[in-house]
Amino acid sequence: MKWLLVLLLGCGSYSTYRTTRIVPPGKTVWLFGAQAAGAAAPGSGAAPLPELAIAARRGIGDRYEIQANGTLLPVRALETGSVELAGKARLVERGRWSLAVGAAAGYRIAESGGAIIEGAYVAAPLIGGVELGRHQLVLSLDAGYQRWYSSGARPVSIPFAGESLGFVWQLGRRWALLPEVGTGFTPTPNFMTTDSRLFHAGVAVLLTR
Amino acid sequence: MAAARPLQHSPAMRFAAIAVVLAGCFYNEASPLPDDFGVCTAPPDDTAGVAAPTWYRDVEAIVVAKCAGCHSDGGIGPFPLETYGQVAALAPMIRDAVTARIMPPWQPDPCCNHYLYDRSLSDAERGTLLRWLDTVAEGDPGDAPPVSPPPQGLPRVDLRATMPVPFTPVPQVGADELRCFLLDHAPIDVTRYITGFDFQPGARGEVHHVIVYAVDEDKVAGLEARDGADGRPGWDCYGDGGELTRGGDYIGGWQPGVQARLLPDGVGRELRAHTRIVLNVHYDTGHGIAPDQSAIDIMLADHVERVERGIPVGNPLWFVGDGMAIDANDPDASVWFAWDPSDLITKHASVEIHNVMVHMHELGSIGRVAILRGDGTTECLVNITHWDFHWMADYYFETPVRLDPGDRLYVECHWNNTAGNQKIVGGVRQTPRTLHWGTDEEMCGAVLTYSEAL
Repeated sequence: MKWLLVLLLGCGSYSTYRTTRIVPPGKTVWLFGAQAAGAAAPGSGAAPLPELAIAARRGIGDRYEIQANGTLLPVRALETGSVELAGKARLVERGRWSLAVGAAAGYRIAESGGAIIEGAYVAAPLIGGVELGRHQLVLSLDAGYQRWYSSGARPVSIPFAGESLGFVWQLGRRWALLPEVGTGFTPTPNFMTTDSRLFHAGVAVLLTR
Repeated sequence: MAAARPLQHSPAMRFAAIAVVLAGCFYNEASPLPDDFGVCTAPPDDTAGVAAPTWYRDVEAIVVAKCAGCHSDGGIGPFPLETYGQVAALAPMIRDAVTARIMPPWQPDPCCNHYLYDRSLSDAERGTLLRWLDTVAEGDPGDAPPVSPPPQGLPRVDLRATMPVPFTPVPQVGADELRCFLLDHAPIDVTRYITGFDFQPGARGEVHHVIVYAVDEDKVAGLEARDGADGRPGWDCYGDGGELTRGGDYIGGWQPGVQARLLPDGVGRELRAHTRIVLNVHYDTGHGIAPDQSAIDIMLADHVERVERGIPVGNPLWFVGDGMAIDANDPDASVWFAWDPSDLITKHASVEIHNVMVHMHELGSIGRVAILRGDGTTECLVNITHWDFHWMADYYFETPVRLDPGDRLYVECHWNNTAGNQKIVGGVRQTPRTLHWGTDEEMCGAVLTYSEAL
């Protein structure tokens, strides 16, 4: 059962696959990804678990976009999923450099053998981008808060902060690949530790239509 | 250019509000079981038992079966209760302990399930004993039924593991010390199956209970580094399952009064090749301190029809943050968890549960384990309404209990975190504080052993 928790504490969707690029107004970027996420308590091992990711991102102005993000692990022994709504605004764009800020709120659930752990979270990434020709290198910082519930247990609060590194590999006008890795930290104890480290790694395909 | 919308009016912010409402929609704080689940609701039958008992005819067999396992010469009981004279001389004290149900120590409620090695007194035994304690009538030795002492030892010992050197405990918490040892034993070159287990206490007067498990050889070096690091044999493992909680294989447990344990016919517990056996001992020095060099005996088979394994039951959220927070001064903090292990552990097979154990620490008050059947019925596996950490044990069912796919295992723990229930450390009663999951704090969980069902 401990490995169920490992995924829960991981980054999940949490507005990952970030870029400072804003989807052109009226256009939609579809994202299909695969990722592994988890938590590693100091002094103990980590067991990243996989998830599929899907997202739709739509431009609503030159500087703004909204996102609907979701993740899913359709394994009978451990089913997980999340839905998230997010927004992003580009703050600055100077030459090759750009800066954007996001806000996301989501709901996440994991079920195994009829036992459910569920939670809501909010996250606010600050995203920096460097254009490298057609491609973009992305570095983001984020902070957020999770609140978890499970029948028979007390609710758990998990503030977290972290960073991620991604690369938008533009394959053509409509297609791009976005590998991303991220780490995070929470002061919340996990199995007799004083705090926990979070991590995720994944790759997504982006299609602009 | 499309008009920009302020973020605070965006769908994201609306969704945030929905998510907060949605989170916890499956959350249910109240236990699905009634408070009196597994509890005897009928009053004990005070008229049961022999009306005018005598020692030889009616009482001696009860005392031998239920008391002498600990209260024997050199045993952990503070005085022997093996002869008429010894028992009659302490009649008032024994009456108080039996009346208060402090002795014999047996935590499970008798209306929950039935167990092997049950030390509790039936209503008839209790009535007979209490009536005799009023008269202490000796009677005629010729009236005595044959008293059969419990069988001792295993039919065959295939592996003996022994503490390398004698260890003399030093009180750490109250009169207690919990110490772990790497045992000396013949190399385990091939995987075999444990079919019987027995413990041989070195100093019977201070070994309160033990847990035995095997660790992989790649962990031995780390344990050897801890062994003796504080200048004494072994290492401190107070409140710690040690390597058992990090992948060790459970072999068996023991407490005074428990006899050699044989697994059901055709069932064995795997003892993997190249493992090393670790002994976790709870010493109680309240009745004296002496060097101890205990040993365990194991009976092995090369092959078995069914392998016995373990199912841990607990909510992983209890490990995190406030998931199992027990507020200071709360007289009845509780958590519970229900879970169908068929996807992860029993692999959609029906299994037989042989054994159940509840784990809490000193502030525990109620512990219960049950099955919530797929058809809506419930079955009590163990129910302890007066938890005493010092008498924590595993309980072997008289008749294995069947668990089918779709059935959920249920564990519930309660704690009394008020001032009067705090443990005493160094002679000082501790002040209540909010507790979480931890070695020096509290824990909740159940472990059951099972094999494939016949």
